[in-house]
Amino acid sequence: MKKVLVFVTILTLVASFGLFAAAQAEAKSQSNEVTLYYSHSADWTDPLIKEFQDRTGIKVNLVGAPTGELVARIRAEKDNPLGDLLWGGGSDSYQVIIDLLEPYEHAHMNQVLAETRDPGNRWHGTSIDPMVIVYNPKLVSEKDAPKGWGDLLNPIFKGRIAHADPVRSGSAFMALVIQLFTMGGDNEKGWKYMSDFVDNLERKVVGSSTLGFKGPADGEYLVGIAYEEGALRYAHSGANLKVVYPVEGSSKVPSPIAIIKNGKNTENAKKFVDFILSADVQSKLGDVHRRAVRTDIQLPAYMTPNEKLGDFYWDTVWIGENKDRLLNKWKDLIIGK
Amino acid sequence: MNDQSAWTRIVNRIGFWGIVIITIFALAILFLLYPLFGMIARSFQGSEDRIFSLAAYKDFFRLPYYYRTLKHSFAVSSLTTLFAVLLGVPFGFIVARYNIPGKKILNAMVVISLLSPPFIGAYSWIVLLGRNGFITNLLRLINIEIPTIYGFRGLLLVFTLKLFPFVYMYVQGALQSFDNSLEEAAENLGVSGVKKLLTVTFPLILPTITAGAVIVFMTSMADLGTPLLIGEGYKVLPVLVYEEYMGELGGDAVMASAMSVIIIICTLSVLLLQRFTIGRRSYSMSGLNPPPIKKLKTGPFIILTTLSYLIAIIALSPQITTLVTSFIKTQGPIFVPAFSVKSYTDVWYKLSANITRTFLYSTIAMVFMIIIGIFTSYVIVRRKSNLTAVLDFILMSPYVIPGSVIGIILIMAFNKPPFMLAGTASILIISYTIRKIPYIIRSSTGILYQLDLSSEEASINLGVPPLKTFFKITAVLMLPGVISGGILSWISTINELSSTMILYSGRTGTISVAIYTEIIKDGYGTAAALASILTLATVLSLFLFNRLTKGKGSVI
Repeated sequence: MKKVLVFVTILTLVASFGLFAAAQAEAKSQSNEVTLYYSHSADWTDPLIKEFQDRTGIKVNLVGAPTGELVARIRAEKDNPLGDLLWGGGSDSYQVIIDLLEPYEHAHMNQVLAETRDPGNRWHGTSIDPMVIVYNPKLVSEKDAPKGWGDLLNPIFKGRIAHADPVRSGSAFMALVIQLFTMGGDNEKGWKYMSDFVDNLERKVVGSSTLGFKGPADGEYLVGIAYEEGALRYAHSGANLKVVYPVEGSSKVPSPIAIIKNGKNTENAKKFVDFILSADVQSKLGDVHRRAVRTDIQLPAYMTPNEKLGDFYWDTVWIGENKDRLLNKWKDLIIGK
Repeated sequence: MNDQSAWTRIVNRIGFWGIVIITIFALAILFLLYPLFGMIARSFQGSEDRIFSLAAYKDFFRLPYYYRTLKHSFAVSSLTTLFAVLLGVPFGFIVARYNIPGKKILNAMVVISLLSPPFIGAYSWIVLLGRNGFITNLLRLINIEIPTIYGFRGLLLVFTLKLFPFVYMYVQGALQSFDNSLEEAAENLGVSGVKKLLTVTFPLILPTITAGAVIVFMTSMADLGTPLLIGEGYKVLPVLVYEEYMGELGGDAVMASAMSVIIIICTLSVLLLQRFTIGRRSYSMSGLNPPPIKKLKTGPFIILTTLSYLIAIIALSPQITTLVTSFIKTQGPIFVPAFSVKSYTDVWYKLSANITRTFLYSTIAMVFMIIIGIFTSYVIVRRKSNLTAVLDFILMSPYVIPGSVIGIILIMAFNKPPFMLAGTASILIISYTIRKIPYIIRSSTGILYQLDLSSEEASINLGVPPLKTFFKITAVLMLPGVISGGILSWISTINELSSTMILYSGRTGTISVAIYTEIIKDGYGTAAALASILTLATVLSLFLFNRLTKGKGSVI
């Protein structure tokens, strides 16, 4: 019987060792890697990430998902953070988890626009991300083309508006806030507009924010709400897409990067932040339809200047604090509660 | 000293198998029952710390936003099942009964398509028929606009083509063990042709067909990756569960739990319905007198052969598409007509760790499965008792739980001390083992039932202690069968997405997660390269499986 006991013990040990060995294998060799949670699209971030890897020798582990999911992950992992960096989405998404972010004074603090900075240095704008309206000129005549948010209530667009779910997509939430405030504010008037807008969506949202521009470009939707980069990228590559800067105004939403508190590779995360805000990288953003945040870099001529994006001020702190409430109101509209 | 002897006495009384049963029970309670009941309890939680409330269920059946997804799920799964049967039964019948050439090749094609993950099917149909698809663009040149494949139609297309092989394989299996004397008797009584088929042959294989149909229904109902990629506005229940769980607001855990319970009830009812109606009339036939394979006349021969290969090629088209596109140059989301291996070099710098991890985790999980499979099936078959019957029942339960739900119950149970497993490789390995346990136990007990008791008895009669007999005789005889079952589980584990998507972290991402992420980020080239690597691994393991089972093993 002793043999049996020994055998069972060994078996259990081997089994648990297997599990722990696997867990340990992950914990090892931390110093030369960094885990990036990002929601940006791969085609312009991949080359930058590769360059960072080549320059520093730091391996970047990638977790790509919509901003909302990444924020949910960071919240769920707060006792044991598994990521080091969050990159993408609007500054409001960072405000809701502001206590879970590590303050850092990066190497280029004096070179970036003031409005893209967090006073506590917990997040750092890497680009400015206005929201735009797009339409398919093959399907929508010049006369019917939307000029602003108000025109999205036009019954000819009913059920044919591509808009992502603000609960999951950071950019769709930006659109929600911009629409609300440029169409009346956080009051009865503003929410009346939102309710009419949801009716015109027929309570349907698309699966991902990239469909905001892809859907109309492919003719499946007539109009869409999109982030500027995707809209311009598609329009410039010859897709059937016209980009409209809403007459009621858009906003200069900072799209940040931030270091997650108590991450396992904070030093490497800092290097990545310095890298993304360096003049090198920032000067390349114009080629990929992004607005740089450094004062020493000119916007490319094809871009509508920052000043013409409207007066609505993106008050990150207020929006972050009210985000749950705004999203719940939106969700009630969509659910039909 | 005294303690030790007491301990030894207890051990002696329980015996080795007693300890095995206790160990398996303990593992099942910790990793399966505790998380599962945690979720069920959560689904009844009230909003203001009320202990018991039906609020989540009431909301679900009251608000269209929620119950609509259940209707969608049922619509997709029922129609998928119908089409899979309509496609799989005739196809299986023709290949089994007529002299179609190259049956082994046909079967291999079907098996490969069966073992690859459904979401790769979704992805490659997007590449072919999607908004920017090859075929879509070709047709646009001649001014034909095909209707969108996103939403309901796409789900139906992907699931039907992906899952009809189940029906096909089941029908083939049933027809191979068919006893021809029954058909002969029918003919002697003057019934022949179509009437014989409808009144004798099909009723006899109907239980098998419905068993295949139930698998189709359950798989299409539980899948998460496919509707996430191709479902878009047409939301099905698993997508809503995922969104509810993954939302930025921290999600509504109560609602997500309630919806998970609802999915499990749906799949379970369908399974039980089949088991207690048609499945009950299962006829066992010896297969000693199989019907002869009929020779077709030239005309029908050409038509049926072409048709069979056409179906097999369409079933395999996701693998063909990904393989071809992985060598095409890409510019962001757009493929340009030029040859390139850049997709593979991109994979190398960006995602090579995902490949290593996938194989490492799946192999560790496979070792667990084999060990658990041998021991558990032995206590279930050779040490029958009420206790082991309960154990059997508990370990079969993951069969009706969708992968995404397994992911959610595990993360909710093990993301706080003392079980801090979130983000580790361990939690992925645990999830893989749990998901595949029912299959492993089924195949291992099957092997044990077929194993003749005489060699074990002979060994014991010759004075070898029972335990030594188990290790020297029984386990050795079982091993090849269990290992081949393990290889099949290994194949489905490297392809697993549903639970991995919820459980992975930056350092534990697998190939399937990388493919999914690349697709949603427009990295179609790298996704294709990774999918091709998965297919290659699948084909190689199938080859090994065939060698081990000498070509006689069934993959379902």
